Amino acid sequence: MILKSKVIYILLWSALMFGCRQNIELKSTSGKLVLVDSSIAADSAVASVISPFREEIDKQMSRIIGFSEAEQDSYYPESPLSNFVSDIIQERALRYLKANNADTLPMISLMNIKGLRANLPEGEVTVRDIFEIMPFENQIVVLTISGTNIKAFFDYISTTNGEGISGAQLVIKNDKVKSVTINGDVLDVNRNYYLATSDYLANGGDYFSMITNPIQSQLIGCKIREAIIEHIEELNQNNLKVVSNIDGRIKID
Amino acid sequence: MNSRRNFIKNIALGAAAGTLVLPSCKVKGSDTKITILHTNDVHSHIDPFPKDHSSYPNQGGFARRAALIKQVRRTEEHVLVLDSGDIFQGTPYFNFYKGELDIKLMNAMGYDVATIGNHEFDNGVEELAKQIKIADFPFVNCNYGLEQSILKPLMQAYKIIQKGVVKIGVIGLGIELYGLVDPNKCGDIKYNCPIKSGDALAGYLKNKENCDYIIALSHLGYQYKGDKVDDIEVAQNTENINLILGGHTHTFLDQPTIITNKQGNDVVINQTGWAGVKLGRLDIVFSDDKKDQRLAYNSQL
Repeated sequence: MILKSKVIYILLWSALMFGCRQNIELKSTSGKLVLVDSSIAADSAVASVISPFREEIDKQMSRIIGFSEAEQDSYYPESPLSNFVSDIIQERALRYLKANNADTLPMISLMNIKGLRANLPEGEVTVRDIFEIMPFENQIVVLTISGTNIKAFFDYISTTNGEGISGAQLVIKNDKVKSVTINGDVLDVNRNYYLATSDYLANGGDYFSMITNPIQSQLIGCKIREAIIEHIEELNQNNLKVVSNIDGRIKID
Repeated sequence: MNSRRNFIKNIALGAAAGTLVLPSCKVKGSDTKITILHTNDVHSHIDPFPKDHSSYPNQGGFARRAALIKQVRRTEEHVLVLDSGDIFQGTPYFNFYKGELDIKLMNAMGYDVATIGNHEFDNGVEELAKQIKIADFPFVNCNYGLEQSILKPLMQAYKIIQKGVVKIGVIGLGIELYGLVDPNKCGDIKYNCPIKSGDALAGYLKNKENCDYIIALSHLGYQYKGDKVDDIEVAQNTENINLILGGHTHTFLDQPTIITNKQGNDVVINQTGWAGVKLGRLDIVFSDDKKDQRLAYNSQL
């Protein structure tokens, strides 16, 4: 009898647990953001895990690769930094095509201004500065694009108030192309062009849909960040500094 | 439910001396406080910003956050530590160590659950898979169709966590990857509506798994002018989600936002900006009648 009533009690208890589930009730919620600043002493165990990683990074990041005459920043429609990086992409892609005897089409380059995440400082330029400008591992890719899609590309960047470009001159009026030339020649929709850019944009980033189905696509085996670092190192070897190259390649009429 | 209650009541009446308390589930019980600490868009900011930084001078840093979390654990019994994605990308720590250091430090801090943001794919889906394997905590998402993805066996739709008497369901909502992530890097991941997927799963967790409270870790973004789904919209158009911990838009919410949902109940939204310069803290108090009931039962023996 005692056993039986215990069994009933157990059954009863399980049933009640279920029956009373609704009785966990939310009473109050309060929230805030706690500032993480120097008033909080660092946890020593975590700090000691980080230290060797930081030292290794610092060693490589603090290396001086060259000099810049002035701070180079990026803005629309054209800017010192977006022109600088677009020109580097253009030069690296051309070098690759020439080395492979594939320098057969007129070429333009594209660097999205949003992808440049910091300014190039005046004076000493370190590896760290370039990592801050270009934290992404994006690679340079050369696309073969129809003239029609190149036209669509210029139409698009006219609606977005410009971009980082190289190899072309664009005049925008009322968000539309007023005129465009590629290496001095008028755009010909009946021929193909090369467009060098990042694999990120070529694969659909930032909605450049007109370049996502190219006739051909060639990765040149060089990250954009590496190309920037190597270019500034080459300038420095020739005792040259980075200089601003605003040259009116994109004008708003 | 009512017929079950009556059934129990009848048994109770017939069974024993327990009738005084057994029929009632309304006894006022003790409270349970759950403390939620959360981050989003930390973007590999392992170290504090430099002292001369224009926006966040000498702010942030994992070692300080670890100390803060430890300090809260000393005073609070029920602590949950959560992250809403974009753990990766933004400092050379990520370029050099591919997120491994971030994940290991999150293990050390005792993170309970995280979701993935778009930048988790920056080194490709294979590399993300490697980092998820290192994590001691689960990554949750319910609106990505992962049938064709190598992430399928590595991610979970939800995680249930029992804190005291409170059963908490944690789900993850991910942003549409098209246009944000190189398709070669994320592979074949189908995007489903986060409102539909999220509310359906939250409903399942409440009704079938008997969760008391549903937290959505969202990397959708706080609010958009256009028609992109945001956290506000999720809150307004769902029934079963109680709390949305957001990300992606790097929004600092000094006060949590309260939105009324489809059933007229409050949904709380919080987001901590980015880079770990602030740690979100929410203290949620539940009244706990069930526990009281058990005490009443025990007293019968």
